[in-house]
Amino acid sequence: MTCLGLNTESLSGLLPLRHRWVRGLATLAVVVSGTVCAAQPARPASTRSAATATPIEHLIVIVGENQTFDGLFATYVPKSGATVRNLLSQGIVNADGSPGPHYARAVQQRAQPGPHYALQLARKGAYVHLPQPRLAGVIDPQLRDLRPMGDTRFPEDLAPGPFQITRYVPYAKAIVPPTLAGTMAALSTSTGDPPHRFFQMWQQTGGDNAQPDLYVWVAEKAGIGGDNDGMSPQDPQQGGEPMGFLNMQAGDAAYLRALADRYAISDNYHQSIMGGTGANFYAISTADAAVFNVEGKPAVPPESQIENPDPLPGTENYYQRDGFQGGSYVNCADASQPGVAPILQVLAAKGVPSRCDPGNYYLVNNYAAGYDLDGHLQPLGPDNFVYPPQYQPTIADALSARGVSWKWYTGGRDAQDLAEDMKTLRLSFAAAQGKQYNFTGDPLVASKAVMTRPELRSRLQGLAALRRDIASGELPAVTFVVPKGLDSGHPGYSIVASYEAFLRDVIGAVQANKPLWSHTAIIATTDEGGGFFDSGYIQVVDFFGDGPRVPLWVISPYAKRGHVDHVYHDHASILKFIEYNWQLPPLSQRSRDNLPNPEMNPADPYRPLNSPAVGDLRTLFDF
Amino acid sequence: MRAGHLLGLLGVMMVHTAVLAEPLSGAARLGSLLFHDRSLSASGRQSCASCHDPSNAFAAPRTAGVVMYGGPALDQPGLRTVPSLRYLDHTPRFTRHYYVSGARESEDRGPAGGFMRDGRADNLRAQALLPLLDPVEMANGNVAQLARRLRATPYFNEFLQLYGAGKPLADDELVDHAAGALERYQLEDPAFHPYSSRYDQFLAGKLELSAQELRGLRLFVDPAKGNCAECHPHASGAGGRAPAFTDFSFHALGVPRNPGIPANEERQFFDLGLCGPRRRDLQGERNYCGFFKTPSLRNVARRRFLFHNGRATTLAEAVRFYVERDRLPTLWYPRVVGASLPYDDLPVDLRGNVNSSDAPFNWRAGEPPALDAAEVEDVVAFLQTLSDSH
Repeated sequence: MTCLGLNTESLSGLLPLRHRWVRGLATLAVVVSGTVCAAQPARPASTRSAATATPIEHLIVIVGENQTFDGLFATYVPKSGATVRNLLSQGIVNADGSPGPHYARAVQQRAQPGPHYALQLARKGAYVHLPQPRLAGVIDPQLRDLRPMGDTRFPEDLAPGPFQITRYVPYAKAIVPPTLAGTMAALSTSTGDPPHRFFQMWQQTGGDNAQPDLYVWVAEKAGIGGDNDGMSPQDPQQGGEPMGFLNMQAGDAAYLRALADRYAISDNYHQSIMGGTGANFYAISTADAAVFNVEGKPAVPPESQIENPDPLPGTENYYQRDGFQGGSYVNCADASQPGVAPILQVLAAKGVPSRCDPGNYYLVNNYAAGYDLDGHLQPLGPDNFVYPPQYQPTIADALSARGVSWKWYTGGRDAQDLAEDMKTLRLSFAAAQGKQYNFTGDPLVASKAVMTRPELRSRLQGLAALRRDIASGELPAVTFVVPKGLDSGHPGYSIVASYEAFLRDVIGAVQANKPLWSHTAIIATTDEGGGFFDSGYIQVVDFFGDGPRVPLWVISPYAKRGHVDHVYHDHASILKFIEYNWQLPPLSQRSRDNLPNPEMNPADPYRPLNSPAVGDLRTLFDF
Repeated sequence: MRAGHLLGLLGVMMVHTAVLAEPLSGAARLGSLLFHDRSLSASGRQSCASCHDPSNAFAAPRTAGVVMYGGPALDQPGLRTVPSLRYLDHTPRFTRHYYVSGARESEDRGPAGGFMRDGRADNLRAQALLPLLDPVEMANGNVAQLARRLRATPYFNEFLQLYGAGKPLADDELVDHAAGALERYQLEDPAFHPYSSRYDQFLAGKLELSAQELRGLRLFVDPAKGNCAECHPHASGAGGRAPAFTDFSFHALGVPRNPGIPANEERQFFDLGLCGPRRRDLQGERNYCGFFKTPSLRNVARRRFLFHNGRATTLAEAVRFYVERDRLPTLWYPRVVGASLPYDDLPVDLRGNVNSSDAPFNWRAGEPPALDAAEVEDVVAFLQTLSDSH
């Protein structure tokens, strides 16, 4: 059946949809399509949302894992002729993935450490070759953990800068249909997981990435921290993994490339926090960082859980206290705390406030949330790696207060989501959930307001519910979608081809529901760059970040086609778009969604004139 | 084979195990007096050390039976075997989900932690009062009785000096300070964490293990063989800590019922660990019934009775249980009308809680054993390297 009036993907190309929208697209659909497609059923009243400022009535935010912009779009050449800043356009690599004329800009250096954590480190000279990549965090197709030995698929004499992963380990074949068995088989192409933690990433980037040449040295010397099982100063179990990239010119990630050609991407969208999953997901839901507290009042965490990135005596750069089972908090208002002063100096030099409140210990790395999925409070203590319930406002409670519907769908949250996994892997529910559910990337489970109010908590659902809601047209106004671990694209236990398959599946389902698709925007991104190299400028927004660029697609009938947006954005930009579209105020006095939109410098569109500033994503749309 | 080579093979990192002998704090010295004081029991004949024998790694004395007897007349039987008090330093508080670092950056190990075999005490301070007040152990009827006994000790003045600043102490304050002193004693005195086993010396590169012990270590670790290290980690942990040989996790192993435990004379009685009867806050959580905490295997060779109910009496028997339970159930469970009655220490409706997914518990009837008889002996030889030197 053709239903032109509601096929707005074609409509958007035909009609000049540039007037300012104060009503929902549903109104338009009636006006435009009244005669063309009158038989289209009206959507149930329950899914109608408050009036929107744009035609977008449904925003779907899909958050995968751990790719930088250059890691994925290294050699992307926009079909539209748009400009892009990546490894190829800067001459760092050639289209065939080999070192380009300006390779030296990304050649990695060794540093001369001092007695304390430092960001201004003297360089000792370039690596001759990258240390051989390791199998850190890699699982095999039977989901067994491999030992973090050298990954012999890669040579020992890689050039000392970016290298094309898929020259040595082929890009997996498309996983169609996206079954668990297909995903598992593709894991034979998984590769090592670089460190991606707060103090490491500050050191790797120096804050603004002006001299991006310490990605490997920091990874190799600090690793993921000694407070992890199996780590030792003698062997932090890391090699040259950070410098790996995929090559779209060689056919890698063809679907992700096609999405970029057809819709809009940003080449200046950033992870909000230096480091990893937990803090970045938290920022996606709050534009802020979690705080150690007792019943809402800031408190001092167990000493063993406070970061100390000063090097252990006798080591080059192996932090004294760092890792999942140790340091994760930092009291960043206090310059005498380990690791804090060098970062505050960078902020001072740029005239940027820290956003650190006195006496607050902020969580800058991964811990599990203070509630479990059943709503039980989780115990705290020096040997319990959990952060307390959070009292900060989240986008979820803000939307509910405004009467705007929302849900957060995470893969593996419930038994229905895990039925295939339990059967295929012959695992209990708990064991299957352990493999698939992203418990450091489910920030609303940390929120007291969400977890103690049944009408909010019931909106935390699984992917089976997402499929039902898409098919039935019952999708809420704002949804967040987090894939299962194996589909997340995270190196080690997933691959980019798996995330590709997941996106294809969800995007395809939305596009198959034409009334839904006609007024929907899908934002796809990653939580953070996973510690992979990126060449892009980083805006120092506050003590916590930003971090390197990560990919972002806007997939919508209203996306600018083939557009590569250079306006500076980070995860707070998603919240700014939501707040613009549904007329919400910023979440709190201190949250980053208060930052202004960038004033662009025509000479360098990547750096806001009015820093710190982050956009609201509207520049990727054509309304 | 050189020790260093094997360490590399197994992914074992060098660990720092040296425990610097610093002088005990005043509280710890007081805790030492309390620990050995029989006058703190209703019987007047039982101290902490009576059941947690310092000469036997602070587990039950070698001469004791499967359970200890307490109460005012020392005629009340305990319910479970006595756990060792060694190597409890990094026990987490009891949690339904124990998150640790792993291949996925972090992983959820399920229910874990807490003190006592059912994890019902959050820390050593809280734990210390449980035996003191338990009617089948030291049997102080209440805090007031215990405080009275504390006030009658010859070292009571030490309490006043340490905690009273010259002022009198209320009963509950006094008892709480006694618990704190017992905690300090266990945390500070190297006797509770000597790391003096042959295996510790092997990790430090100071001695080599025999060929049989090394074979046993490999079988202990190998996921396709013993897979013991899955719950009893043998390698250094976070922060380079020496291996504790426990991950503090809870499991229902389906250990056969032990008729030697007096409480089991009552056929309808079942000791269900996490969901009771001693622990009371999880009684409704049926999926936890039969779960007991994984103990450290350090000094396991010194135990006369193994498992929470003491059903095994030799190390070989305990190891064989893991490889025979579901393959040869008739060796382990009573026969009823020709068939064996598996997991007979759990009510029928709770037997689904028994762990059958972790190797070697996932080996089925008719399959070859995960460990043959000689390999069981090798694992036993390795376990004997975990005994601390005297």
